[in-house]
Amino acid sequence: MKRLLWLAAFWGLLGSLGAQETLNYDQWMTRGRRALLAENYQGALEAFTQARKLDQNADEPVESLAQLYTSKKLYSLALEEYKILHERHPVDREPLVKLAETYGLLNQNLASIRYFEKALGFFPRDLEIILALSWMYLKEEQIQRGIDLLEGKRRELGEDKSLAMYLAILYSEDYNYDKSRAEYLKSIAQAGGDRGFTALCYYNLSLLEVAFYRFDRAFEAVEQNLALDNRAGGHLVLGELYQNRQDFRKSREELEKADKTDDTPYSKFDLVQIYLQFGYLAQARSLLQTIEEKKDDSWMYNYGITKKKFDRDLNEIWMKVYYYEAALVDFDPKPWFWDHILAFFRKLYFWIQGWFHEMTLRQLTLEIARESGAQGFKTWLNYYKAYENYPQAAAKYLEMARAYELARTSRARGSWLMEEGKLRKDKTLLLQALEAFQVPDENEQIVQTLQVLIPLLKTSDQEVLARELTNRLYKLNPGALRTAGLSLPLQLNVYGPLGPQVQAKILEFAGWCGYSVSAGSRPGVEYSLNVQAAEDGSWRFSLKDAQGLSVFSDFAPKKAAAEEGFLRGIFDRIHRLP
Amino acid sequence: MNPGTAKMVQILRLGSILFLWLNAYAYFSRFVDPVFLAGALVLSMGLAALLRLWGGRLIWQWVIFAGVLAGIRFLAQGIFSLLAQGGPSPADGLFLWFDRNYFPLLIPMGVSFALTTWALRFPGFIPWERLVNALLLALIFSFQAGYKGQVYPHPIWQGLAVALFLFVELWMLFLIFRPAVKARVQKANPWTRILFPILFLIPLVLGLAWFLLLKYEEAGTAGGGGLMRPELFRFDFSQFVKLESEISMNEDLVLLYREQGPRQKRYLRRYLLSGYSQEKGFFVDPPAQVQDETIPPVGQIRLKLPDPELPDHKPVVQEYYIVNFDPTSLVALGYPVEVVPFQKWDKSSFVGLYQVTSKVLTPAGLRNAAADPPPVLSPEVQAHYLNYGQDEKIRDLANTAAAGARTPWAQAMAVQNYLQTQYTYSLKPGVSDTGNQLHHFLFNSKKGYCSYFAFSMVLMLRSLGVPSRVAVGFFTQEEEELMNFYPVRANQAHAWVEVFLGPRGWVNFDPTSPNLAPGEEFHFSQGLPLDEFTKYITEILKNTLLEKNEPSPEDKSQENSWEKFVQASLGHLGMWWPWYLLGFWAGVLGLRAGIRWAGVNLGSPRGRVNRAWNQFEALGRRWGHKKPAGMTALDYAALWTGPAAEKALRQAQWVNGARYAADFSLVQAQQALKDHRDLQKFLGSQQPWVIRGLSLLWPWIPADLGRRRRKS
Repeated sequence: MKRLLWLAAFWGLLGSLGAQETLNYDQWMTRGRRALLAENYQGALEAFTQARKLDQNADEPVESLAQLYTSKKLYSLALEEYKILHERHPVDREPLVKLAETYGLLNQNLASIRYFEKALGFFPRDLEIILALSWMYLKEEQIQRGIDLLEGKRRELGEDKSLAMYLAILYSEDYNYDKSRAEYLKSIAQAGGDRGFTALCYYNLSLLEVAFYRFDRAFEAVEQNLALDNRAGGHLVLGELYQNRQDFRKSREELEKADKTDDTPYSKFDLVQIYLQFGYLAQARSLLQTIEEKKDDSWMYNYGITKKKFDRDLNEIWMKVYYYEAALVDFDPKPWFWDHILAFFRKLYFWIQGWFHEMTLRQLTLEIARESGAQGFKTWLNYYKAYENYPQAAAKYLEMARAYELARTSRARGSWLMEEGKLRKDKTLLLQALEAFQVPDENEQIVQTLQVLIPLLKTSDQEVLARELTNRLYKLNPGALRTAGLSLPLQLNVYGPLGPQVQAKILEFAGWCGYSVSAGSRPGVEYSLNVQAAEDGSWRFSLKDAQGLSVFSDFAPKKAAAEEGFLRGIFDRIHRLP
Repeated sequence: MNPGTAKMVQILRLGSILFLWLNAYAYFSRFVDPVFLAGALVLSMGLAALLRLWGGRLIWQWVIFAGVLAGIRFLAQGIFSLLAQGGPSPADGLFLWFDRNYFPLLIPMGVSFALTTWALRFPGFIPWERLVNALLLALIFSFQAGYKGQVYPHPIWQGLAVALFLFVELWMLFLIFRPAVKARVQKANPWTRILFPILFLIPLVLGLAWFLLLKYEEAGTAGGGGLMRPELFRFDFSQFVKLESEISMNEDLVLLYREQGPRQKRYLRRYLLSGYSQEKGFFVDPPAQVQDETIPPVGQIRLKLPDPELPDHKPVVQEYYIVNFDPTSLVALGYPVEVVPFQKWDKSSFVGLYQVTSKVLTPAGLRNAAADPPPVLSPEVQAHYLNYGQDEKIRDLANTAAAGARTPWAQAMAVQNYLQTQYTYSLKPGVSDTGNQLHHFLFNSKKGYCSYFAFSMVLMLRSLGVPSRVAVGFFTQEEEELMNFYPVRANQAHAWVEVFLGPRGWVNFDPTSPNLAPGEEFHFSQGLPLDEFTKYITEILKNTLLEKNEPSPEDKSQENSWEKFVQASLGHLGMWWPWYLLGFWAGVLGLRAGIRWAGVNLGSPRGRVNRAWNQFEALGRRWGHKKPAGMTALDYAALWTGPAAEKALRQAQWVNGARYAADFSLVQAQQALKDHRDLQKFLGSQQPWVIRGLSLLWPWIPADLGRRRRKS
């Protein structure tokens, strides 16, 4: 009765807005379809609703509404319609599968699994359902269930290229390199002329190779992928491989190519990483904001990620942004006591922001670890990451994760030495890690190791070694110095009639900012800043390495050299890619 | 302060501090467990009390406090380390749990400790602590960026919370100063009784209100892109638009706009600004002869507006779902001809809903307008729309920009194109050296936000003799359309230009440059998060639209009637609370007057006289003659001096008669009451007129205030 009164009032109102029409069911449906074509979604919605009112048992209006909502990404509304259809036809395939998919699109993975399992009960030989369910198992880290399902179905249904690929993905998540690779190769062999599918297999294979530190094979696989299908995924992996090598230009180029066609935020995410690693904070921040503005999370359905994991990753990157900002405050000029006070508060501000993101990151990581339920490599790794600041708790998880991974690939040794060195603040382990990494494919890890190791050496009076390693870090990535609170040790050589004044000025400025500059030679210092200060006030300056080769050189006329931010600009330039 | 009062003050202090941090809790609730918060506050304040008992220097108290905090963490880490021995266990998570709670609470603990230490050590600090608390509360609320309900879900709750806070703070002040006031009264300076609360109350309330309103205004202006201003708990466009040197924008959702048909960019107009002066900028000033420039408010019933019946105009139906905007402000396309306000449903996310039908120029009409003859307006109206302040530099620039353009249409297109291509968009146009921001934009910086462009185009066109005006409102972004809904956020506030082209009326032009100023970054809104958008759309689709003047369906109105009543009351209260407050107080006073009247006019003769005597005693308290317990009526009357003494004595005799005489007639009672009224009148006449006036609002005000002051 209530509903009738409401509907009466609603249609009374509609009647007052336009001419009252009396159409039958078919006419309303026709009107709805036409409205859809005319992009008049409100009209379509009203027409389908009206049709449903006239024939409350008809499925077509419900289906049309569900499709309309799905097409407009209104998944929660679509879900309600699919629920109605499923209630009416509990053993029909379509409503069940749509219901499961829609739950997946809403990132309600457990509900999605429930309905896919139900669907599988009714349609045990339906490959689409089998694959979708195995994918959801993967997303929820129920790897063994996924493997069991696919292996069982393969025995039942026989070989299939998709089954092989999905199995390969699951084996990859299970850290079973050999089986995973074998399945990928099998799926490629079974693909026949399906270029798109083969390309996808190569893409996934390249991810497997990266996960097992086989970078040469990863390059091969991704090149195969791009040769078959020049799409975002391949460029993304290639960009990440170059990122591992700390090749900024190539990495950015590939990631930008990926970004052009990527409907996920992954390529932007990687671009943010590379900008951050090379000290381009403004670009990283800007891109990060763009990622956060992406409002639709339904893309996650097709990727092995959940909303929580994505949030965790975002918090991690924001944490880095703020901690880097805090580190950069140390390099602001502070000629007066008041500047130190201001710098302290500015640093505190960034540090607090970073801390809040770090806490969120750790908390989310812990939740992910707890929710996974299963005991396995990823769970231990998550526990380790959650407790990273507390060696007492983290060490045992590190031990378990390391034992697990090293049992499967010895190539991970460098990474684990680095992790343990970072956790225990152990210089020896970190130095060993530097020796264990593959060059150049693990340059990124080398950079990370150096960023931790050099400050430890400085505090233990190993200044010379610290300087030598800083030079090494600089060669790999000049932007990585200041974000870790480091600066390039420099010898200052000033020539020309204004030499003494200019030298004093530069040394004074370097002192204000905390840059490591000295007029004389010091052990471990390879680079020199050479300034020719002419009588007319102009400067010719260059940065040279140990061999006397110029890293960059430039000329500043008197006006430019006299500007307030000139010296700051020079030091900024030194700590960026030439 | 006696010990009882001191205890009460300390309890209230504790409550006040807890209240403050509970408000702040909204900001760190993600990290801090409420139990941890409560424990931390009890610890810090308890420690302050213990250290006070111990005595010692302040610096040592702080050292001990810091040591205890550090020690607690050290101890916790030690215990957790022991628990974490062996294999993986749930105890491993304790480290993270503790730090996640501990670090955010350091500031609340430090502040609470500091305040309590000072309050216990220096009782004179307690009144000043009220001010500190008020500032802290203002600081907590100021983080909300314009009352968007981060701490409280609705501004009403925030208002109530602030009222409660003020009540507690004022109560404390009252308790603190009551002995002092009493003492001072005895020293014949009763002004102190009023002055002390006033001295604290007025700065406290005004300071708090000023700070909050300032932050509110700042946030509102910033969030509205320099165009919007906050009204009472809502936003609306300003009727005066000035050019700011810098603005920022926030992304808060203002409303949802719904229009059928293919997605398109729309300009949703709120105000038309045709008045201009160099000092004030553009402002609302509709000429008397022009009807379409007066924007009526959205009322309670369907509103019909005159249809100009212009060629090439088609009706377009729009729906507005207001989230954070004044719901009575009419926003519309083109020429609105009908406004239909809708009822809100239960638990609605919207503060107002209405539908507008407007006549809008069709695309074909827009093309036809190019060939229209020059417009003809009456001389007064023409003069109004051509006022450009006789600025020759602007006229010269307009001539340059529109060189070769003959018709108003061509001139408008030329000026629009000139501004779009030669100037850039910036939220930081900078400050003019000469004070003329518009000249700074046009001839110097060449960068500005939408108002700069709109102002410039209107003035340039007016200097060329083309009638034009500034329009302010919102634009919609077609790519954000979902099911014919468009989210409109605060950063979509916009200013554009309407040009009068004759038969087809006023036509929109948007001269704002799409090019960002070099080196500047700006993120336009990218739509609502899908979850949020879906939530709103689902709510709209699940509820029916009912016109305001239509009765609600009977059965629906019975659902959740209590909730509905509370919600409706709160909503109403939000708009009218000052009047309700006044009304409430008038009611209290009226009730008091009624009871007093009934006391002396109803009942037995003895009862009436007794109650009249009670009223006299109450009046006596106002005059500083409090009747001690056990004192007889005659002795009390003897306390009075001067002309009042005789009248008081008569009252005492009457009440004795009423109490003890064997017979007491109605006639005697009436005589007694006549004397009572004489006495009241006499005493009233002895008060200064200020006190008499104030006693109407506050009947308990000391009546002898003026007399004593004159004596002193």
